[in-house]
Amino acid sequence: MLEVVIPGLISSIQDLGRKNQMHIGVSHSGALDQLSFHLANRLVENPANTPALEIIMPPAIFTIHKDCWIALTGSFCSASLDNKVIWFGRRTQAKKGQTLKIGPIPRGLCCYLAISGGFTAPSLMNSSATDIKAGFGGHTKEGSTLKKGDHLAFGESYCKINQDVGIKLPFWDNTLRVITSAEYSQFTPKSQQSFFEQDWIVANSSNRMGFRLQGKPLNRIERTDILSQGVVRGVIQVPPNGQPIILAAEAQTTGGYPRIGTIIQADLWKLGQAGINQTLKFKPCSIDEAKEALMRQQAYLDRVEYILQSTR
Amino acid sequence: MVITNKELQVSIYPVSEGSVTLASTCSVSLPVQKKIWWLAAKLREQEKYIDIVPGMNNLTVIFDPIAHDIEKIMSELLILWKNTDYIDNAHSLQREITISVNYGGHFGPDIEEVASLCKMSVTQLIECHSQGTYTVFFIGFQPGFAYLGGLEACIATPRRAEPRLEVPAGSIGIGGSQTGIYPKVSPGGWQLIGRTDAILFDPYREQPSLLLPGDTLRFAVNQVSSC
Repeated sequence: MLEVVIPGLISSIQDLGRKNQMHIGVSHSGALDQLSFHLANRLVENPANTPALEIIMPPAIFTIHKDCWIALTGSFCSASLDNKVIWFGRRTQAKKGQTLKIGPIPRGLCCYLAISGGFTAPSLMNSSATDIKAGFGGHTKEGSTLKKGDHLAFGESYCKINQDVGIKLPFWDNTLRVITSAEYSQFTPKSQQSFFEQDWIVANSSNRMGFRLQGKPLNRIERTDILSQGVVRGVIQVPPNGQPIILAAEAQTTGGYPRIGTIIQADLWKLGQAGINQTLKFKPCSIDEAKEALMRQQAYLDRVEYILQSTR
Repeated sequence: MVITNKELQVSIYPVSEGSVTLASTCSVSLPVQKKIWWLAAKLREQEKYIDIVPGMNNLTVIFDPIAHDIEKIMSELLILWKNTDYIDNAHSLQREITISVNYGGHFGPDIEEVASLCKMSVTQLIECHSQGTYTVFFIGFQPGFAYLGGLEACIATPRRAEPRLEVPAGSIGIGGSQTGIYPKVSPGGWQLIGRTDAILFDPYREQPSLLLPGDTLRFAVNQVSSC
């Protein structure tokens, strides 16, 4: 079992989220940075969708009460086991009684802590993901974030792990590729240009529902209403005040604000690591380029699998 | 990559590399929404969609962009939409749900204000609201929150000037030309006229949402309180 000594600002059990529930208003929820979540699990030989801990804005401190292997991924920060340095992107053996210290994060937003065997979080509506906004799921089933004193059970290793191994983690940068929306032409040419040229800043009103950006407001030529329609993670809405909101894991399932574009799936993990006051830039991208980027990301994951296989 | 078909009065466009929206170019109406529900049901028979999300006059589908070609999906949607001309116009999910309401008093703190704005008595307001037949166009905003069509124009009332910080779960409100039920405690700007004990959303239930797109909803008067 893992005991929470210091939880971190917003820490919660996450997985890849709840699918096929959006028609009843339930967001996918799940990890903000699905790439790092996936890598952490694979490093400790957990199946891809195993519940792991998402720690938004450490510092966080845990006491480990059972021998296990752990892996940390996401925004880099200092981490230690009994004050001995441990590395990101590497699996490390942990012994009963050891103290795990993580963070704070100098640049970024969150880390993922995966533990061999996975956190034994109950499944609700086919997922263990914590939906903080909706108030269900996670380790308490009520959408709670971690607090001091919480005990998180974890399972037995899925297979025998013989040696530690490290991988090269993906490189983060602040440029997010965007597929322009069907409503893009409704924005003034000046706003279209400004959207791609300016440095946007992540506001501190951002949360797991959406990343709110501050910058020069975007204007539309015509202010017609948009009827409520289904939206996905990465959609960039522009409300009347002209300040974009990028939808994240717990965004509402339908939205009525006009959209300027959507961040490509291969870059969503980068959005998930955008901390408060982070500068972000956008770059136009076609659907074909977006698919290519996703396939390249899959190729990277295949290489990781290959490395892990060779250590068994 | 937008498909606009004037004859079929539809527009189909990508939202991302892995999602597409089909939107009717007609005004919002029950006949068009029925086509949206039919299309959603038809698409569920295939197993390639991660999510199928009805909206107001539109439908959004989400899929794996590597496994499926977006242009193929858009063409398929157009073909299916063409078929909606031939569906039985009375086709819908045929479920009828009755929700029992406690009108007025502390359950509906705005009821007298709404009655006054609509130039009728509280009794007439309750009669009008509870005798209506409502249709769940789609669910959005919150788990289990139904966007309802069918509110009589005579009881349409503007939202409150200042939203409440906390609206109790089960509260029934009127906001503009819409009526609806708040499934969960939340901030809200609608005029509250009553409350129901019915649980609109329960993640532990086999079907967590009490209401589904296509349902017919009626309100039944359980009790009327005064302030």
